[in-house]
Amino acid sequence: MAMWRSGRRNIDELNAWQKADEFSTLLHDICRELNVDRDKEWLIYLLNQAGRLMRDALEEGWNRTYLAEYLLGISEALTFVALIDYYLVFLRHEGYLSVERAKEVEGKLSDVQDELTALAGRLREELRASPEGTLSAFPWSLN
Amino acid sequence: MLSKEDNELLCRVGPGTPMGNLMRQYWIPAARSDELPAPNGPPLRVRLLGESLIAFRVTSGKVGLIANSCPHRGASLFYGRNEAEGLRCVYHGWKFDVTGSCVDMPSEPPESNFKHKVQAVTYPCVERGGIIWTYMGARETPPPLPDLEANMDPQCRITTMIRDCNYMQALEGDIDTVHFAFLHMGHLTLEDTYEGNFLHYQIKERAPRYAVTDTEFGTCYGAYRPAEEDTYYWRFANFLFPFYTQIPPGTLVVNRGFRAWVPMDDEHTMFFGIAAAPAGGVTVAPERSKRQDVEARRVNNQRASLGSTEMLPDTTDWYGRSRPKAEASNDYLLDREKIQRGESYTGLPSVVLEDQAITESMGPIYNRSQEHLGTSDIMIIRTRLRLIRAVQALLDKGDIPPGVDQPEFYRQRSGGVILPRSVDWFEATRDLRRAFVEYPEEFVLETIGERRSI
Repeated sequence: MAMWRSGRRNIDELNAWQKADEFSTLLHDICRELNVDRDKEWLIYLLNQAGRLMRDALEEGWNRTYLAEYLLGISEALTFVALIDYYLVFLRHEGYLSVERAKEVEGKLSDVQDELTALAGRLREELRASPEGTLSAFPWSLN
Repeated sequence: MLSKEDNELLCRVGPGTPMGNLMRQYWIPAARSDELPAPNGPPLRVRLLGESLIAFRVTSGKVGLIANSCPHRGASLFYGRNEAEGLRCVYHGWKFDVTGSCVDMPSEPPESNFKHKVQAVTYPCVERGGIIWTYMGARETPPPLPDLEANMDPQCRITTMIRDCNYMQALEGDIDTVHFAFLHMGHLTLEDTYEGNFLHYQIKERAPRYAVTDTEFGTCYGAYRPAEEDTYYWRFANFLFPFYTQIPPGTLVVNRGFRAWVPMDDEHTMFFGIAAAPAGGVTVAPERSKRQDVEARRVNNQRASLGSTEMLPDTTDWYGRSRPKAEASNDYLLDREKIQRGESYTGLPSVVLEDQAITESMGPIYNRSQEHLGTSDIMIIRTRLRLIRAVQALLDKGDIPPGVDQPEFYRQRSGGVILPRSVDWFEATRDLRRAFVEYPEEFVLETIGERRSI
């Protein structure tokens, strides 16, 4: 089975990763702005971690052998999106995030989610056509 | 972590509550059919969604479910006489049929038409697969029953057990896959496992990774760990609206079962575990440990090593049905010497009672504003979001929640499977997760990484 490495682009050239990375940075900034009680500091840690893990899951999937594993990386990234979403709702309900800031960050998170979901859809199409596909066969137009 | 408001939204199920209204859209398991064994037999006290109800089987065999309080002066109909096709209140003799119509009112003058003006609160019931189902919603014609495979097999096995806590913390125990390798199997080492079986992979890597997704029926997760060089061991489990789970032990392609966490009220839950024989009659046990096999040989009982659950005799109390002997007041028969001997991680008598003890120990309604959910709790998070959003959609826009009118959504299976790393976890298992399908033994064995029967 052909290996993927020859000719594959760097992860940071991919739209999905760029969006995830931008969001991770935004989340990091928001976490720094948040003025939470000491007993909620773990939440800041967790949000930062989830933002980082979301980006890393994409990268890890990208660096594996099979297209299916990239898809798995995207699925994992989407689970971290759900975790971030859950805690953003909590922060907004509890008044830690202003309505405007919450709208901004939730909108950006929604963009990341849409991007990842669409990418997963396109990859699934590709996998149906080539079930054992490696990433070497991954057409760049699907990025 | 959940705000107090969202926690209330999630947990409160009584009449008029948003979650209670959502649940009333669905058919609900009310009792086992064998709890009302004979026509005209003794009525049964049933708590359901915060209501006190009396179940009774009339002469023709039909089941009625009527409000506890007689509409006349509020006496309990539990003391009623189950007579020809109706339940008669012993206070003044008013008699009601299964539809709640008052069919006899001997305390009023014979010429009175008053009985035709009185209607008791009743809920329609149907029986299927040993379960009495009831519909407590507002529709004149109830929706269809869900296509839950195990309940459609007349030979299915039904287990019920009361849990003294809110339904949601009991349910969340089922979708919290990582606890299995600690609470239930924390005392095992790799030496206790058979190389290459599911348990081996779980003990080798106790913390799995997850992919979680919303589905038409609720939520689904796949927890995966490395198996062999080019394969993963996947555990699939489901949450299905409004309170069903399908748990990941066993083999995905043959598992036929589901669990219902039916809210009796905010602080009590009736568990219904429904299991049917493996699809196609293919029996495999990919999660047995060496210790279980030694124990099974010793007592000549395959199930003994998982621990049996001794039950108290049922009483007629509202909370007196399906109650285990081990409970909070006796520390669930905790035996710390079993821990010292390395026989158990917890010292509790069985896997079932480990779950029971732990979820009840969180209190009647767990205050989720105090918890610290991490990245391994993602299925719990996603399921809460799904439920809360469905409640909000019903509340704000009148959206009918998932599955009410789509019985086919419930044709699902859960369990473990070995997948090549080169396949898409969700698509590759789409057919394998589908209920009402049988596979040849050779194929079943292949899905658990085996070539021959065990």
